Amino acid sequence: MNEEIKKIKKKGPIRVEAVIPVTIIFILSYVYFTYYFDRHMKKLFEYVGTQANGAEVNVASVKTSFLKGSFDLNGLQVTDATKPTQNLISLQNIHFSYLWDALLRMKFVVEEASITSIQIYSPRKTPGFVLPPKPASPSKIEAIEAEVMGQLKDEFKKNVLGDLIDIIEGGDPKEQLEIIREELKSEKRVKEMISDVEAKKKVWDEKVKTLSDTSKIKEAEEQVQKITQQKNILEQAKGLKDLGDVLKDVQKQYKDIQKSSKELEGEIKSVTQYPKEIEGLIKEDVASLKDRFKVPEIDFKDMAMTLFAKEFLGYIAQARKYQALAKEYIPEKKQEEPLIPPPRKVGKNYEFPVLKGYPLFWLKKAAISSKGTKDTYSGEITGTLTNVTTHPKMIKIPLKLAFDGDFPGLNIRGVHGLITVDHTQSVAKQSADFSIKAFLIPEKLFVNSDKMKFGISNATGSTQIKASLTNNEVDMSWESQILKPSYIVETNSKLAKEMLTNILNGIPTITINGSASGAFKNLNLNINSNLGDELGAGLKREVGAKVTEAKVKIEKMIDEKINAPKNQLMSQLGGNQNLIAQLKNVEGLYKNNEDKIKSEIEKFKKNGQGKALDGLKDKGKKLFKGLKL
Amino acid sequence: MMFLLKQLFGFIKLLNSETGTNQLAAGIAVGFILGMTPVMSLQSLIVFMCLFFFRIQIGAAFISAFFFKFIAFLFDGVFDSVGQMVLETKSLEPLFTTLYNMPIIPFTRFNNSIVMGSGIISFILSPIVFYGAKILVFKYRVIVLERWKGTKVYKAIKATSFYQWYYKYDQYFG
Repeated sequence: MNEEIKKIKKKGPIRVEAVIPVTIIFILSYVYFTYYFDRHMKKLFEYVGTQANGAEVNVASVKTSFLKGSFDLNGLQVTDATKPTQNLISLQNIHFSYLWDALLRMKFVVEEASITSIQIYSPRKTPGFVLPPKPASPSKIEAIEAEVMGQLKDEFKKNVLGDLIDIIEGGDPKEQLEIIREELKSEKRVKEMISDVEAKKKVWDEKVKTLSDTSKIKEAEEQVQKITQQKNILEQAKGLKDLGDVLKDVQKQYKDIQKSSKELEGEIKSVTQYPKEIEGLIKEDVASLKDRFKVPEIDFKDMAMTLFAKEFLGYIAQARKYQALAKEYIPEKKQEEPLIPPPRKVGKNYEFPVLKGYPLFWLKKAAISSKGTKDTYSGEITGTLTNVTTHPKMIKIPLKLAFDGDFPGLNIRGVHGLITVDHTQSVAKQSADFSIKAFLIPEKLFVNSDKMKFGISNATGSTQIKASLTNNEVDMSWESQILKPSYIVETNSKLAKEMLTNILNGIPTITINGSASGAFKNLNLNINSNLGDELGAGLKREVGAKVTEAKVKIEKMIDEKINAPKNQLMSQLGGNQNLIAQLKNVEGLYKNNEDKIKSEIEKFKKNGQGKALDGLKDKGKKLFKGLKL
Repeated sequence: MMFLLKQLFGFIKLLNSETGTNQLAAGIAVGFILGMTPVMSLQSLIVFMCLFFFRIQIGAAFISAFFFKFIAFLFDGVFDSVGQMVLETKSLEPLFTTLYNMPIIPFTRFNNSIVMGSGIISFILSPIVFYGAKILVFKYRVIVLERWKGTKVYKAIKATSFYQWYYKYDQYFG
């Protein structure tokens, strides 16, 4: 028995007993990869997709073939988390065919790939489940977007049309005239002047009346007559003395009248300045009213920026997002790795010339096609994605994504896109050319504020966006045309609505030309639009006409308000001239009287009456001396 | 774990038997190659597969690989120098270029200086290790094992019923 056992235990150099377990392992592997691997891959895609999407992701089947090196994913449905009854995106088939020659070099070269029947927002048979929401945190992509949108300057955030409404409203002469009716300086001053002149006239009337009293002159004349008719020498002497007193009275009265006349003349002279002052005030009033209607200098080029900057920056932000994603997944500058001696135990890796090599990953060509469905946003799109690789410098062919098609459900026709990512040279270049021949614009509001809503509706548009990026310097242009737009102008201001409607009726086509250049952080933006230009010119014209109208009305109104009191003032000033004339008359009378009295006194003196009187005076003096009183 | 323990017991049993010297020596030589190779590479995998298809004592290979893995880093400098010398040989450059561009071969990581150096040295030294191990096993059996069998402790253990039972069991199911 022991000998038999020993004989059995004698074995050769090959471990024959290991053949069966190895065979079993191979059979089990074959069975697993044939019947279970694809199912497990399907489950894996569904689980990972659901976790990433936040809503149910379904995969109809996955088929992999080790010998063919192919991968097929069928019936992918990604539930829309916001509306679980529809899919965000659904694909009929994703096909990848790997190159075995590359796989044996541990490289993944996809000879041919296709993504067919892409549908967006297609309805689901049963609603997909949605995962509970995760706490929100700002993503890196959002930060990138914010960086670009942050350049939407405050000045472009302004509601320029709203401001214009204020201007237009401020320029309504009717309402303004009502407001300023009581504020005219000239009118106020004229009233003051009239009352002043009236008051002064009253005073002067009284004064002139008093001064014009000629009873004193008559009295003096009578007294002169009486004295000259006197025969008695003593009486004559006494009369001469009285005559001197009368002369003094007359002279005093004359001086009073002269003084008053001068005062009146002075006052009249000051009052005669009133018309000049009024003219000046009228000019001031007109100027101040004109200021109210002054149109501020608005750069209507900026109006185009204000209207379209947000939209244009939105496009740039989109481009920036995709560029950031592309940068992450498609290495931009992979310099030749320098042969730096690695630390011990790692050794030194030698690179030999690659005669027939592949990059780690190379998708040579992928065909993309999508089918449009009614009531969805899916489009009839065909396109190709070529040369997606981890080592662009090695294959020396740039990545290209080209697509053309229509979106019938959205009335979008002639969509064309060509995106080129050229990382084959030391300086990376990326470019995008995107155009739509015709798309329907059901409603687009450029200004949406409390003051007004301004936009377009039922228009047809076409657009072209070209962008290139070299060394993180972007150069982007945007050209759009909006044909036959129906303008939406909603505002409480009838005047503004009327003005804007008048202007907009003359703009049958809106053209927008924009450009952006420089670094994403510091973009040099420029947007031109005939809407901005024509709106600006039209508003200038309309507001200018309103201002001219207002100016005429102001001048007319001032004339109406000022003319009557001005004339009243002027007639009153004319009355003052009468007073002066009256005073001058009286002054003349007194002067004549004074002269008359003086001549009478002279006559007395010449005829000896004076001498006799003097002799009588001397005799009288001697008598008084003799008496020695 | 059970597999490893079984292989270890197998190694002890075979070492202490009178047969299987070549298996033990081959195991130690293969373990030497595995232990000296710095990382998992295609050639390591091939050598590992040889353990299962050829009658090489797996336990000896594991113990040997474990031991040499600990001392291999001491020779990394030598491996690096040898590897660099070979890889920088101008006459071999066309060969390496061809190998570099061939499928599967790059998985050997032959273009790494330490892999190349350790591979060349371990493969060249493996026959020496094999014969050295064979001599050592022979010497062990003659000097150590015979002496051990002559001790009272061994005789006492051999006389126990447990040993008898184990011996019978090993004959039928071992």
